[in-house]
Amino acid sequence: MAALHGDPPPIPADTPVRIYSMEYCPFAQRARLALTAKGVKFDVINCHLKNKPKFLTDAHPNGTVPVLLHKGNVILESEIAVEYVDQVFPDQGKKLYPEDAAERAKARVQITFFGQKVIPQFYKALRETSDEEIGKLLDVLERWVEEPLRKQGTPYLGGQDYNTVDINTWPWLERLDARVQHGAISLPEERFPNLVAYIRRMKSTPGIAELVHSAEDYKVAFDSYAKGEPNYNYNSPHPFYEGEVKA
Amino acid sequence: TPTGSLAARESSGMEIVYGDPPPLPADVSVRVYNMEYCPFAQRVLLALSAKGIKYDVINCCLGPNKPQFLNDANPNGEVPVLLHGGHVLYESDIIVDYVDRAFPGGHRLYQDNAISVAKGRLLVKMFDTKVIPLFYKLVFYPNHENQGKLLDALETWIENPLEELDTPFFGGQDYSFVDVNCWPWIERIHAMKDVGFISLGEERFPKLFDYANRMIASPGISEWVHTGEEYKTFYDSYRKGNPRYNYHAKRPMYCKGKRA
Repeated sequence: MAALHGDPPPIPADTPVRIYSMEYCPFAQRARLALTAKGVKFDVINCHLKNKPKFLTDAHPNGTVPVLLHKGNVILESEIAVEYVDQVFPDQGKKLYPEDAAERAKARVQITFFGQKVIPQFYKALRETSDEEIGKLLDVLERWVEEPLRKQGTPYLGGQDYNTVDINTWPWLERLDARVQHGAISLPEERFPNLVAYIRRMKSTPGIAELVHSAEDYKVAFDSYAKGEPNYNYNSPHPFYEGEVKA
Repeated sequence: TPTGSLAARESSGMEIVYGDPPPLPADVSVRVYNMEYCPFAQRVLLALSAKGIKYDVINCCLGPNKPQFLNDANPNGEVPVLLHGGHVLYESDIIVDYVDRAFPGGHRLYQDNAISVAKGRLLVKMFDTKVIPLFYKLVFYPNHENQGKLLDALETWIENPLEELDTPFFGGQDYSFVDVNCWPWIERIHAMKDVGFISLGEERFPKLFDYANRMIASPGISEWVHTGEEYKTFYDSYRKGNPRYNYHAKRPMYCKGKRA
């Protein structure tokens, strides 16, 4: 699909939420997963992230996705958006946060620690692909995902069903799985029995499965990033906007 | 100006103790692992004070002499840690959230309004990422350039939002989780303007000055302030690599156990 310019058309009357997104952005995927979990109708406006459209930079000081538009409200930052969606659509779809104050706090700590310990190492291993960096990634995956799954003994990080912890962490595990399928990383089942089962389970879970990209899609995306020319909208069904073309 | 409670503090700080803290008194259900000058831990103290409940504060040495019970409680080995109802919680902003939910009486730190929560969280996140790192940069490299960067960030993320909101607090008519999460660093900057840390001028920051005076006078906030001299002493020692973790503290400090 060719890139569009200017502003997107107005949000349709029957669509409560619009999201400024990018097809391969894991942070934006968190918000899309949350909306899907709630069964909320939303429309997706994908954005070029190097030549950003003006409507994106007007909405967010950092010009990052996701940006959620709902009832005239503009919500920024992925984890904030997930919480917002759970609060404004309380009576539909899945409950994304535990009701109990301590359980809610522990869920948020899990998300924070994943963000502190796993996500940076995921990107490091993606850039540096050395045995050492991949080894460190496996270590943090074991400590911060495999072990919690094992200790909890539940199908999802959220318990019997997926919740905000799964939503906020899955995008990187999906990409990890793609890297495994590419042969770039090995995730041995003997060391990661719970994580391997969890990945398989998530990929076939309604609400998650619809947003999963194939290993082939990720190969094109990652390779294009590595070359410095990100193919932001590869194989995407959504309209794609960029900033004005510079003369 | 220091309050009566500050003036009553011993000038040399209290003693160092070893081992584990004693069990909680019967009428106290909450304990905080704290460090006298930790702004992250102060967030939690402010949240608890807002609720008007009794809580027990255990000051800890940090760095290589931190007590074992702190490492046992928190994988990051950091303060604050909150112990309540058998739960052990860490991450300061998450604990503030927990305190508001677990103790529904007293002063409410969150409104039942999703968009105001989302906007408040964004402000805290911007403050965390845009202002706080520059504070520490100035602590460790006290030069004119770093002062300028911190002042610019304060203008963008505190002065201008206060001007736009045009309410006494970030929370509106009363302080909220946004105020609690940002105040510790604003307090330090405001307190240390008079001891050479930073040239914070009222002409450039009228809203911030008003806000700081209002916060210092607010019940719940006022009990955890320190003087500019105290902060300067602490941060100078911090920069030199030998932090005076318990300077002027009203309670003993737990350190890694010494052998008999």
